[in-house]
Amino acid sequence: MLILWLLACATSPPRLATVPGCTAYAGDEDLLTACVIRSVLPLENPFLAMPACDTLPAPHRAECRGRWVNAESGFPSLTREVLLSACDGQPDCAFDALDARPAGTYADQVAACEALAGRYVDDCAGHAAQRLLEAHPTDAAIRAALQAPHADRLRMMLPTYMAVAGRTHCPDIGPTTAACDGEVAQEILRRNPNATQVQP
Amino acid sequence: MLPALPSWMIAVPCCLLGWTTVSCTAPCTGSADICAFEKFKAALPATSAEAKAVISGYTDPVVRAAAVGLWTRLHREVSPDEGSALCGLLEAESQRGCLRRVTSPHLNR
Repeated sequence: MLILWLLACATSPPRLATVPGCTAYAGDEDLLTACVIRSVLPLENPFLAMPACDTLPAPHRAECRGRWVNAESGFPSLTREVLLSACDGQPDCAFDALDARPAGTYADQVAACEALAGRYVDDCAGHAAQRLLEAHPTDAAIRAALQAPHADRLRMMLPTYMAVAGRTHCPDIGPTTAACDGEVAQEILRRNPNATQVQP
Repeated sequence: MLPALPSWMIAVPCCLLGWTTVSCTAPCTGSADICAFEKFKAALPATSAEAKAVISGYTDPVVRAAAVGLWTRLHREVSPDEGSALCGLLEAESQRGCLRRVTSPHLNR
């Protein structure tokens, strides 16, 4: 009976092996994760930070790595490859790293989004589209970008961009040009209700 | 009148019998904040305002981070403003990641 007592009720929850300074939190995965994340955020060296994250159970390990990438992406010395390697294949982390270190061209960035951002590929491509439009692309560059995969967000943003840029027409983007022009007109009116008509 | 029994003397046989009216888990031996976090997990505040009020009472930054992380993970419907207010309870280094989680539409779908 005494043995049963000891086994059934008197045992504490298992304590997880952890990094120094976090032993007090080892009885609870959420607390332990918060402690380990707190300990790795100031570490710029991934070879110090990743082993600490990897002491956590799987889902928390991914969170820890993602938080490190998010925090450290502010340091320009860490390359895109280092950040992506720390992500260890997690789509949201990769999306964050790709955002922090975008490729030189829109097409390359969308290709990277497609390869690494998993279910967030459209969000990732959307951010690429936003960056493209902020760089005042030529009409030819817009047309080329619209031919690339995952161009839905770019297509959605284009009329607003045109209106903000003071243009009343979209570039010639094929059969949807007229529809795009109509949306530009609506956007101009929305931004300036006193304008009664947008001249073609 | 019966003498008062230590809680374990009541809990152990009750646990063995499968009764759930007493706590069968080991008593919390951590700091006050760590023990408070156990209660927080067991009865999560229903609103962000309530969560903020409870979490502001913790002084341990690790417990604060765990509580904000847990609550926002389980309440993805929280508005960016409410989420930001919770993130504001964290240390500066932890706020960036917290804000990303509560304000990024792709993480809250």
